Amino acid sequence: MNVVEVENLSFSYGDDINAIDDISFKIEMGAYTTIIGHNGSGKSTVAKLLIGLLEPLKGNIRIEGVPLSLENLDFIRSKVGIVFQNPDNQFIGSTVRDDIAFGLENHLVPQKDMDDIINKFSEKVKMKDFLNSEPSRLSGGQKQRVAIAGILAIAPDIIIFDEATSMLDPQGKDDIKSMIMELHNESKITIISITHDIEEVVKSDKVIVMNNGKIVSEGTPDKVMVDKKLLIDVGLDIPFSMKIVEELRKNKIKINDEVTMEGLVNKLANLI
Amino acid sequence: MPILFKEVSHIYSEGTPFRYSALTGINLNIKEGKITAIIGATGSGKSTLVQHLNALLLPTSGSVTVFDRVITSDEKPKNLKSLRKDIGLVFQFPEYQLFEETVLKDVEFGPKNFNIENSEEKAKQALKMVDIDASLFERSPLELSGGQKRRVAIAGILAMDPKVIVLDEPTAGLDPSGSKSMMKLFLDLNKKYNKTIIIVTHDMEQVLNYCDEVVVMSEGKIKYESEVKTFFKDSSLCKSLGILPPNVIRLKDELIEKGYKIDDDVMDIKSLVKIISRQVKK
Repeated sequence: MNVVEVENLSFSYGDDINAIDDISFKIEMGAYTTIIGHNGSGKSTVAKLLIGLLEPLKGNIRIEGVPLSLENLDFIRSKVGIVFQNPDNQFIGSTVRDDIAFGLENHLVPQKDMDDIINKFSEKVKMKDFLNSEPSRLSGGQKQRVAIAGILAIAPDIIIFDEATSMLDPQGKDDIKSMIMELHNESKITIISITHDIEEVVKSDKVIVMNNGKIVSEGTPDKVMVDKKLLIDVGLDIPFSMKIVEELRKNKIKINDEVTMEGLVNKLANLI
Repeated sequence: MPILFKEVSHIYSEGTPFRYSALTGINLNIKEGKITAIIGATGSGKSTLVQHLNALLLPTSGSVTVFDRVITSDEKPKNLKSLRKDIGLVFQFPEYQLFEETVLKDVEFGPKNFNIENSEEKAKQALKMVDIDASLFERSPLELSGGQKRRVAIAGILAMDPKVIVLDEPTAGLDPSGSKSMMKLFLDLNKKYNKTIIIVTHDMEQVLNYCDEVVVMSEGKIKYESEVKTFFKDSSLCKSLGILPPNVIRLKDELIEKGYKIDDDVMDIKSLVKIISRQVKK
């Protein structure tokens, strides 16, 4: 089943240029989709359109079969959660606990369940010790963790991460990524991750490449992420393992395309 | 000795329920003319540390010496203005601080504020250094793309001609080519204009490829400091500090485990692949 269906979507910020220019795509339930593209390619605009923060110029969006419209906005927002890149843009509460509780209150979660939920998710993002801290006093990466806990707590069917781990250290990023993967496997959450992290992309089910408001490529990472010309043309990069593959070929070693480090190590282990 | 931390501790909101000890007993010497990376988990005190460099934060105890000016808990240096001119601090997401009507005016704001002569000329030079085209000078900074905005914000600091430029996660949220050109810019500022650069970053590829020195922080303390080359030589060191080594080092380790023979000091793709190529069955 497709939980997200986008048809001929266009959007403009009021000038002559269409920030989103006639794009269509579908996302299957439970899929982990990454969206990549250079800064200004339209990725974040798509995210904002998907949760009805912006109104399309043309085209349709359906979430779980329901058309996105003003009347259906409450339904859509109960199904789709978003974590923005700069968490300062979404903090409300005066403490971390209040902040996570705010989302729960909005989603009419009974008071008696709140503590358990807050404890569970603050622990998952390793921020339980900070429940009584002021969000504004936290570091950039800690704020991102809290913002992620706030969304996970309300358990939406679909979560959009808009560069939501850009300020985490690699270890922290890995922790959050594997936690998201775990949630994704456990509860069939559909994940849409807007990212510049190529290593995250190669682990996703499907990648959508955007450039100048259009989708320029779409498919499984092992097909899309080996197209060096396309990726470089749109200001992106090939995965690390593909750089090694290229360099090996320059040294006259025959080796197939490979987008993950694990795969590359296995291939090379068989060559020695 | 240009920058020296001596037994520096910092406690936020002392005397309130929000009391939080962010730095403890920091001793650190940052070398002039180098690019120094400050790394560590989120909340380890990196941002707090760098905000001491221009007395934006004062140590709760200990002292920070910056080019002969001493900063302690009860003493801001007498000529704070000249300190802030010498140490240019670029915050996380600096583009949120753009406010003037035009790009040029925004960059000019700093030098004007510091009564620097020829502020317009200085602003134009700074914009040139960050590769912002003159055709954008009269545009509103808010109309620019994320990467361009960040360059303008950095130009605002460069226009004051600081000796030291401190950047707190300067490439967070930039696309790969934007990040790369941003890092090249810092390398340029270091090599061509002889600026001392301090970068707070999480990106180990950047540490390996662009930085000379590395400082590892954890829970408000300095856990390790050395030259970058020494740091990545032995990846068990990285791992013991909870740091994921850069890709090329990780690949090297994995291949050694599979039977390849690779020297310690191999740290770039080209040399690594050359060594692998010699060992594979043709």
